[in-house]
Amino acid sequence: MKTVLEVKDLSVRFKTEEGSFHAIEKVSFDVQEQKTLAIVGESGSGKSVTSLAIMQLIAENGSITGGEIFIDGEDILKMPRKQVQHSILGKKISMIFQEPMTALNPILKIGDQIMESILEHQKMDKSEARRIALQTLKQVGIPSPEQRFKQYPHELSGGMRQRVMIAMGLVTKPKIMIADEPTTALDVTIEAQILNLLEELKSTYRTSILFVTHDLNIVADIADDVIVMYCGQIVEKGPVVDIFESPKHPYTKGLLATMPSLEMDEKILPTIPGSVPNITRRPSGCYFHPRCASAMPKCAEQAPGETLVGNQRVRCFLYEDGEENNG
Amino acid sequence: MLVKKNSFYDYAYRRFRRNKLAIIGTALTIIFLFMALFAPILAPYGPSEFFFVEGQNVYNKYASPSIEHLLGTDSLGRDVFSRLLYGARVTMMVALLSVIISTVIGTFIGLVSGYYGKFVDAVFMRIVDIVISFPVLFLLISISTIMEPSIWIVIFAIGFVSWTKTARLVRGEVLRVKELDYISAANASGSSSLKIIFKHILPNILAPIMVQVTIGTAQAILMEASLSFLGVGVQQPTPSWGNMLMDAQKLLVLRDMPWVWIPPGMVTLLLVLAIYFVGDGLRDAFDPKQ
Repeated sequence: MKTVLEVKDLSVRFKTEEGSFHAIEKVSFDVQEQKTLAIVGESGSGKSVTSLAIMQLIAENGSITGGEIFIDGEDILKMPRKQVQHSILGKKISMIFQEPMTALNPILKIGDQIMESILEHQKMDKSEARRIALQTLKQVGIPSPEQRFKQYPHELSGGMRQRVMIAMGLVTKPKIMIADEPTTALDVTIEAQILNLLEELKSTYRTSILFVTHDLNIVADIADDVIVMYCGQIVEKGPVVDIFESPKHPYTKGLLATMPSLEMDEKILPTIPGSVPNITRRPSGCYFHPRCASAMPKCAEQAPGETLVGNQRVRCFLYEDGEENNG
Repeated sequence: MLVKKNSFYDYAYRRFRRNKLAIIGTALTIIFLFMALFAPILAPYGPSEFFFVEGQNVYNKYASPSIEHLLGTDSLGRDVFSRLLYGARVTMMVALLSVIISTVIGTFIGLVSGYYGKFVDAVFMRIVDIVISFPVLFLLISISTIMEPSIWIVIFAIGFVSWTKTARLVRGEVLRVKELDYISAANASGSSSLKIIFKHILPNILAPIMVQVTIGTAQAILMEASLSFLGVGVQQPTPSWGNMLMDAQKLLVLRDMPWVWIPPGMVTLLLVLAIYFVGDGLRDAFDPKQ
């Protein structure tokens, strides 16, 4: 199996009024060909920063301070900016944004925007680009694409616009597509349609998906592998089945416990006590220890490393020896 | 079948058409433009044609309005009405060319400043501060004493001192627009900075720039008028509405010969007002909250 995206020890730092802080620290993962990797975490866990860093979209006050990002075997952090723009972004990797209402240029027609994505990376005449654009619009399930082609974003519904975004992302047949909470702004029925569409297109276009979300139901639905992030670190990663069957890290366990289910008797939803600490006030040792039910004295003193437990990699002292120890 | 166009500008056009004052302003501006354009056809005499008192070798100065001279004659015995028409050409040309200059400079500096930020922004914004602090009048007076006065100096001078407003406006708009998702999306699809600036940002901030262009035109007309009135703008014998008003500096003319200064003053007022109406109309039409 081929690796299309490999992230190694990626760290991103932001400068603020109060000093400079790491938004993500030494994040490593890889995405295999035609697989879906989901990044889950609460707000402020660094999941979006990770995807933005891969797309080179970090805000001005932030910078990548270390690590490597390999896309299709090439380290894009070592490439000149021009080359990344020309041969990576939009061509080998594309991104779907959270807000379909604002992610399309309001004064360009739908068709022109899709054609632009094509012509940016491939030399072909306009009629050919137009044909491909129309075909892609059809594939993402837009009825009467000929007519939609000439319309402006505001004439389309949210779900339709997200389909257009997906068409724009897929039209260059990228190796991998990053979807940053692509359904959060949509209502539930449309959400299901879009997720099905993504699944379907993944096999038609032979592309991999990096799915950023906080919705565990979606993860269970579409992901092959999962990364759980907390405070800018990966606390657990592994195949989706293993993580849902037997979560290891106390944070993952907590997250899964908060998922409402139909069989649930309780009137009150279970929650993880406390809240994600602010980036400027991260605790010592393991970042999760103040909220952790199984915290030990040493959790406050040193940061745990990653250990392999079965198929999962866990960042927790409970598994130091490769299995759960109850000491 | 009538195709209803639905771009942002189509909507704006429909809103603009419903605004009565804006339509009156547009009509008036077009009438003035025609006056300027067809001055040689409409004007009964040349702009610098002197008239003599019949049978004598004396200029027919300050003749009151008559069939021969609809708006009388001025201090050198020239036909005021003809000079008014030819003056429209000069005044409007100065205004339009200087607005083009200030819009190009201002838009360019605003785009670069807003998009690249940091050091570039700091440098350009300090330049803006310096230009704003220029005493325009003294600048022009010194230029006109050093150099042979010409209409081009007036055009460049007005253009050079009035781009700062556009630059600040454009910079602010760029700062707003560049944070929007579709700019990130364009970045994520590998578009170059130039393409993002000119294909995604500029078209989206064209509306406020157009409003600024109209208001800038009105202000340029006023500026030309005041410069010419003070004698450092458009020079005689070329007629402009501003230098036609110069005669009004004489108390006698101001008191007893209103036909010399009321017409140029009136048309200046009307044209500036008309352009402001157009500007207001455009601003309302472009405002999505309407």
